Amino acid sequence: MRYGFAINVHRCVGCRTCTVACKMEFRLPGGVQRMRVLNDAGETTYDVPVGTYPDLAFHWRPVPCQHCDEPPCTQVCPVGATYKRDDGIVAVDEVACVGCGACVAACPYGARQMDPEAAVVQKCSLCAHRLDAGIDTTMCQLTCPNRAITVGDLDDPASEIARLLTTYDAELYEADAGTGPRAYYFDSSPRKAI
Amino acid sequence: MTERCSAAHVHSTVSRRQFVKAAGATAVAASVSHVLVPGARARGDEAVADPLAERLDLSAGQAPYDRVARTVCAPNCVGSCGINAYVKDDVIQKVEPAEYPDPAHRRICLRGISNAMQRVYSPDRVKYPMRRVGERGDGEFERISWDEAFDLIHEKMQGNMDAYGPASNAFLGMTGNYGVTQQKYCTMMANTFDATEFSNFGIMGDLAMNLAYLPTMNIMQEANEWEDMVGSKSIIMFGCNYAETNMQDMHFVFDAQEAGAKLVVIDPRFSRTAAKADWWIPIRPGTDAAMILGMMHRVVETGGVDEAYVRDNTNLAFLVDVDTGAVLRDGDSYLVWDESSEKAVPVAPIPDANKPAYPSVAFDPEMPAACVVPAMAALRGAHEVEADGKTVTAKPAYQLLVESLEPWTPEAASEVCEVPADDIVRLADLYVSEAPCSLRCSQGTNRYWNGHLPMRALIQLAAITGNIGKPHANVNWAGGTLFKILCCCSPDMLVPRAGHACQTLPGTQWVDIVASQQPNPVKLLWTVGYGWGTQGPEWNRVVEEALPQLDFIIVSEQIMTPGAMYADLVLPVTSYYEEPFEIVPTWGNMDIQVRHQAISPLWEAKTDREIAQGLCERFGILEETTWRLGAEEFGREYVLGRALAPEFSSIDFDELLEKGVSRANYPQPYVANEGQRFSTASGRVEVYTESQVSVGEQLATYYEPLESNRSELASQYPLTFMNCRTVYTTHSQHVQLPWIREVAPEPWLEMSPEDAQARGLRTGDVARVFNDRGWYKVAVLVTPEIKQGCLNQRQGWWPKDFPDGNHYGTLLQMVLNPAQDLVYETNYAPYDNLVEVEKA
Repeated sequence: MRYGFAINVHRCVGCRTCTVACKMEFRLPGGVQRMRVLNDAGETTYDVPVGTYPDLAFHWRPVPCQHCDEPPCTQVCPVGATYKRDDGIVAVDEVACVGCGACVAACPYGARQMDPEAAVVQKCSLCAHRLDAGIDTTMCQLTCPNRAITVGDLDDPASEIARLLTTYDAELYEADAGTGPRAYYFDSSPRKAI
Repeated sequence: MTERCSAAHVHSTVSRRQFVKAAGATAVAASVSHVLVPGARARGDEAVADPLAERLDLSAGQAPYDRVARTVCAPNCVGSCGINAYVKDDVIQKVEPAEYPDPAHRRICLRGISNAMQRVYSPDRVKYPMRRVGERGDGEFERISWDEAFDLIHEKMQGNMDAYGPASNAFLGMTGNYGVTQQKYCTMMANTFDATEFSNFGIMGDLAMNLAYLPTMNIMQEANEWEDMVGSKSIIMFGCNYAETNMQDMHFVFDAQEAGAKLVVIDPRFSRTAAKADWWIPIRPGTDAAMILGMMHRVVETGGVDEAYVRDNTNLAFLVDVDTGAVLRDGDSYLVWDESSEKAVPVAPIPDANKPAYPSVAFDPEMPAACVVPAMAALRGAHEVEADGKTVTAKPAYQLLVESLEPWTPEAASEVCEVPADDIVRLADLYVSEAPCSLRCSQGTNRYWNGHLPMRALIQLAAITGNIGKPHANVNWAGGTLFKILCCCSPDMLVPRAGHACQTLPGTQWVDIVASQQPNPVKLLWTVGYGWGTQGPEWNRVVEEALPQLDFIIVSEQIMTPGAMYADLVLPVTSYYEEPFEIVPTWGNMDIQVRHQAISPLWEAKTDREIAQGLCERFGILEETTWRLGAEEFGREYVLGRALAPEFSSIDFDELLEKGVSRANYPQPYVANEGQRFSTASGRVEVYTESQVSVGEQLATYYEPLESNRSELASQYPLTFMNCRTVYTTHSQHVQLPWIREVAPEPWLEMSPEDAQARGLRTGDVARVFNDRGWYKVAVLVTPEIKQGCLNQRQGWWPKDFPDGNHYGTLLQMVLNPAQDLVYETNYAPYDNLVEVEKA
């Protein structure tokens, strides 16, 4: 059992519904996002394409916690508040978290943010509360208008996520970081020749 | 008054950290006794909890709730998404997309989520009837009771009726709520009080495509179902930016692409949709029709015409008097040239029984022999024909069509539209070879003064190639049930008070009509579902010339909008979540949904229907009107029960109530015009429109936008000022919501690097944008996505969002187009404006 994301970048139009749905679910304060959608400048606002008119491209990349196999965040937490579950989810115990920010600095994906009001770290939990209760979608997956996000068990060959990853060539985001990220990115419809 | 409990208030008194430490992450609310918690609030005063002030206990997997209400979010985004509202103690805790019979239509977006959680509970909600006490526009109001409000409206309306006649009371409704009765509310109110109704379809700028469908097919709007694109070999989109404007339907485009369809997008901007295309073709704004004429030239030249289809299903075989442009007739029949007998022979119009009456698609499929166009009917040539006792030179309309295309070589078209001639040829060839091809046209083309021309040209292209009414092809704009149900409301429904009727005046001219008080005095204006002051044209004229002529302005609103600030009386209306019942159609599919109430009305909000009831009571007429009925009973008996199209009237209402969603009884899959009978006079696609001869538009044609960037005016104001939607908002409804502002913080003006450099502007600089009509200021975003010579100010922002509170609406023209008025009504053309920009 090993949960992960398969994210179809062709279907992402940068609408940030995932960001907002996640904010609703977790009541995140202003500016804090567990699920960021990065544009070509690596920002979450004011999207501008790359290139020169008319040779242009827009890219958007939803970036949740990558739920790494070798998460550096867990190693730097002084109180063991962030930990990897047996099912692959990197979780945070908010009661134990002392808000020191060490994990924020350690994450190569910028997937962790300090919650200035609660003084705890905020990060994607892969909606473990839902999965644990038998609800088989994360909020970002459920709400994505374009069905760009799939969550599932990477170890289950019968899962939808496994089907997607055998159908399409998927890449890891900044795999060089060496943390074993488990969010896969693929393009379901590369530009066709006309 | 009780201090409002806002999220900010809670956060400043008790930090989240204290929440977490004191109670654990799972039991926050109960630990904070001095904070208003759900259930502790009282309706009718200001103490309504902000649901976002509390963290949720998610330990059970779902936000705590005591019930789930299925309702419909429909803020004129075209989607009408079914929503499950998780409600606890009468407060919405969260929303999710509701289950849907076809899971492809189970969806939601950031706008709907933010609306439910932040607009419904906004501190800016209109909470009580509010009477103006300061100057108009100053925003100073006093709370009054509903009794006082109804008395005041009654006094003002009755006074106007006595002094100026009932037409001096005017209603203008817009589309802020897609419920059927909400969309027809102002018609119904105006009919009740013999008032003036300003039509809304032109002033909202959505009419131009209809202005092409109406003369050719006598329908308002059509499209195959979205799923139909799976199976298309190619999809060609003119001015469609579905990724932003139809974000809830864009996934069907992706489905089609994954199934192999090639997507071509024609747009001056590298839109989010263009970014997903296999081929993006940049074009000079407002010139799509010229490009399509060039494509048609190529199609005709290369033998891509489906002559059998043209002969059987269009009026292009009909003979036309070359001197007058009139279609020749023999009695009621048209004439065609029979090449076997070498004479003109009659073809009768298809009888009403044998063609559908839009929006119904039902008809008796028999084709009377007299209506059949002979197989030997000529499409080309010139013939001497006896008509009305004299000999005239006549040509088949198709011959005139071919002649009209002669000047439109791809090279000539290229000179106009700035698309290379080779690309025009390549696209024309792709349209023929990569069939079936789904032709699609949308608002990007529609919002120029000549905005009906591209769709008109596409209808002609689809007709001569035999692609109308075909699966995975067709010529598509907006489908679904939304317009269909609005077009088949029965008079019984629309006239709540028998024997009384409104006068309808064109909304595109409301400023002129009110300013001039012609053709009749208009002293009271009541707007409903309309966030005016954020998108409309001629804002300076609205404020300086029209509003001063009005003795009384009533705005029914949920939020204190810019328009509401100018009201003399603001009435609080319910959000979708508070409505007891409503029937909601959609542009997204062939379904109808119903809203069930999710929460009680907040503060003193009433539904529009309740407001009508209260007023009718004051006038002593409630019992003689259908306003006396409850929303559900009215929906059952009148909205659906008496709908003129059997596809709607046959919906099982009880099943709809139970399930929340039912398909209207249209064929599935739905292919628009699949029956190949049309509700035109001839029963055929009238590619040749005799009714448009006087304006030279009997066939597809092209002329420049009103403020063309090649006009003389362009030497002074060289930049075309577009105002497209964003993916983050629907018009003005969502821009003030905190979550929306987190992803779209402030307005920005998209400007090409070349244009910015020439004016010494960089990203973040504040620019002054101006023309002879007005000016506003905004921060510049230099971006290569926009064609040099064009600007794009994303629409929906409020005046207060711009420096000095000056809105770009001051720049926008509202000039009538006689050709459009001849069909129906001019379409407001908000992109057809030239401006100049300087560093502020």
